[in-house]
Amino acid sequence: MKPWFCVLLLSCSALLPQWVSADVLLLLPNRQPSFINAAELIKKQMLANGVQAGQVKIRDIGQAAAWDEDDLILPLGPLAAGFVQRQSVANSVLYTFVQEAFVRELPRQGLANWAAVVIDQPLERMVVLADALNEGRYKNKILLLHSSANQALAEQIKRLPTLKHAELENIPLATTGLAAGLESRLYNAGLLLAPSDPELWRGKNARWLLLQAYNYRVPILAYNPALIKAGAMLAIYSEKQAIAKESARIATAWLRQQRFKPGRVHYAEASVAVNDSIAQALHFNVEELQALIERIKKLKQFQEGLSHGR
Amino acid sequence: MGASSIRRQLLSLALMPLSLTILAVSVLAVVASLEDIESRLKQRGQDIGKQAVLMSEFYFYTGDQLQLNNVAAIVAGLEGVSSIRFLNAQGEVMVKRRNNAADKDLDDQHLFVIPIYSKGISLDEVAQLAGAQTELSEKLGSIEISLSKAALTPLREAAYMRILLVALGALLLGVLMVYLFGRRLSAALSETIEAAKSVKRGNMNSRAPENGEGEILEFQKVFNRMVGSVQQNEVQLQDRINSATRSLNETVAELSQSNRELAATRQATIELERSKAISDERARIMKDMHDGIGGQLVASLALIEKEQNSEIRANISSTLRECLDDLRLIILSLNMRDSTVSAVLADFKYRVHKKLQKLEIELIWEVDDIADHISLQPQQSLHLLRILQEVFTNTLKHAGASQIHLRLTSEQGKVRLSIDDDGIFTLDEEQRDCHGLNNMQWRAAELGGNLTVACNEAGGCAVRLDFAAADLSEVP
Repeated sequence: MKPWFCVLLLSCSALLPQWVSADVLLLLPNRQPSFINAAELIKKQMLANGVQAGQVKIRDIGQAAAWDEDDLILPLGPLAAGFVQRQSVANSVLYTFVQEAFVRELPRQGLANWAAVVIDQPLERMVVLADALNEGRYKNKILLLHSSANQALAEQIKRLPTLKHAELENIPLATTGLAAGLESRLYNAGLLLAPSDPELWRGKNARWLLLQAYNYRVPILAYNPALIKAGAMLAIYSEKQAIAKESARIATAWLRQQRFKPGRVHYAEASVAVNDSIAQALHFNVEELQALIERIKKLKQFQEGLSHGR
Repeated sequence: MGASSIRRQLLSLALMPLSLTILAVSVLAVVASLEDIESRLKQRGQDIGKQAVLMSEFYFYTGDQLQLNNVAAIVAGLEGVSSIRFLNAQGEVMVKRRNNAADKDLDDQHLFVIPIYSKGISLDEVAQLAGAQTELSEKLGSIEISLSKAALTPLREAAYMRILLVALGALLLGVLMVYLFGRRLSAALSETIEAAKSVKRGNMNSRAPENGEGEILEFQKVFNRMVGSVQQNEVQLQDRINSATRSLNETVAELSQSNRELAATRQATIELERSKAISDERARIMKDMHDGIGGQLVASLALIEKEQNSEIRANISSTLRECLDDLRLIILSLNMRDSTVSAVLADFKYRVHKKLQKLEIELIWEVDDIADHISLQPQQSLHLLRILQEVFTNTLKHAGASQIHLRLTSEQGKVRLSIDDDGIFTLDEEQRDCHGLNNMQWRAAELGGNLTVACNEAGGCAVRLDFAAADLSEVP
């Protein structure tokens, strides 16, 4: 075989995957600026990961669904996800910007190859951070409030590791009987965890819990930075950029391997917000608190690529 | 009277719309004030409600009725609050407090119901993208706050009083301004009316004082210009009347002159007609005398001439010849038409010349040229001839004169006929009253003159006939 033919053959073989590779279709539920911005963030991150611009397309569900069978569909938000589900496509689907509870409720049939990047942070990270915060404190009991109907949270609770510095008290509550028996627990609690639970952390219940916890000087570790403004001391959450980055990472990997582990829920990098005023009122040293957070974020549980299978 | 009437009219005209305007504005102000009071009351009720919500919101969460009761006591202590009630989500009264138990008639319009909601927490953008329920609200209950009606009464009374005072002030100010303006306006008009009355009385120099404003001032200026124009027209009219009067007078004078001339002409015509009639009659008489008496005298003279010479025949012949001469003179006088003194004298000289030559009496004849310019009517000519005939007859019969001097002179329109002889003047007192002298004086008077008879320096007779040339000419 002549050398020049070998060079030509190698070049063709290198370019062939590009020619035959599938595209990534970012599917928006509508043309709201927030969704467009999120899609642009994902695309930008994928381009940064080496994906060619022509391989990433942004469409909304109002446009005619024109995708190849080997394309990766990446619906943003629950509306786009529901649209893809109703299409019963055979494509690989990567749900992003959805809640973990939504993913848990996805029908198991119909979609063979799917994954999800959720906006939630895993309960494990929240518990690890709470355990670290509770180190050396007199009140070493960590209260974990959730509604009894929250199955997604119940599954995560099963995977929680053993705490080193505190005792986790799991309190499944009925929404109607929220106040009953909780005040005595708050009296002895060192920290109150507030994971995402729409039935519990809303309206009257959320404000009541935040006010009661403050009255009993119990710091709250919440799941959303909005709760920081409502009275929680800490919040561990996912930023939009982090979710876009994690989505781009998984999509890029799919482009390279044409597959991913199906049925997995991926968590984005965690961000932690602190309400300095609440922290000082609860006798926490803000600087030490920030240092502790930085140290915690370097733990294994906080590293990139954390996921759980469904 | 006129000014006061105008002033009253102005007051009526201005005050009626002013009063209506003030009334309308007052009504609007009352409505606006009442709405403002209601708005302020509503705002106060809402403010009290917000304060009550802030104070009681947490206790609604916890259901702490003791604290809600404390809050109700505080709110009920606020001014104007009549009652307050806290109700739960099911509408059941949790706490109520009423300040005045007798005040049962609570006005529903002043009852403020403020619902209390448990507001959810707005999550971040990521949660919104994921479709998370970002905000939910749940009604916890409500607060009913009633404000007392008594609080409105003083506010309303104050508003009424304020608007009433403002309206009265505006009305008084309006009346004052209308009075002042009306007085000024009516003063200008009344002075203009006085000026008009003065003009009506005939004082065209009267003018309206230009002390008004706007249209009044324009009216006064126009009035003054009009009066000035009328005055000028009057002057021009008076001039025209004077001119017409003068022209009429002149016409009347001319007409009078014409009438006089016409009368004179008529009179002249009458005189001419009469003169013609006289002349015709005279001509008839003259013809009759010439044909009748003259013929008889000539026949008689011819018959007597045929007789033998005798003294009787001579006397009769002489008498007949004198009668014949006298008849010729009469006929001559009757035949004269518009003769002159010069012609009468010349004719007389011709007739008497032979007789004087026969008696050897010298006749000195001196007649001024004016005699050619003095005209005589036939009757006047006869008068003058009779006077001359009488004077010469007397001289020839009685004076025994050898010379007769006749002169006619004139001086400054006065004419004198002088006849002097060198005979013997024998005129005594008896003769002065004789018929011949009286006739001469009568005829002299008919000529418009005067005749005197006296003795001259030569002892002869001196006859003077003075008359005016103009009188003769004008004598009909």
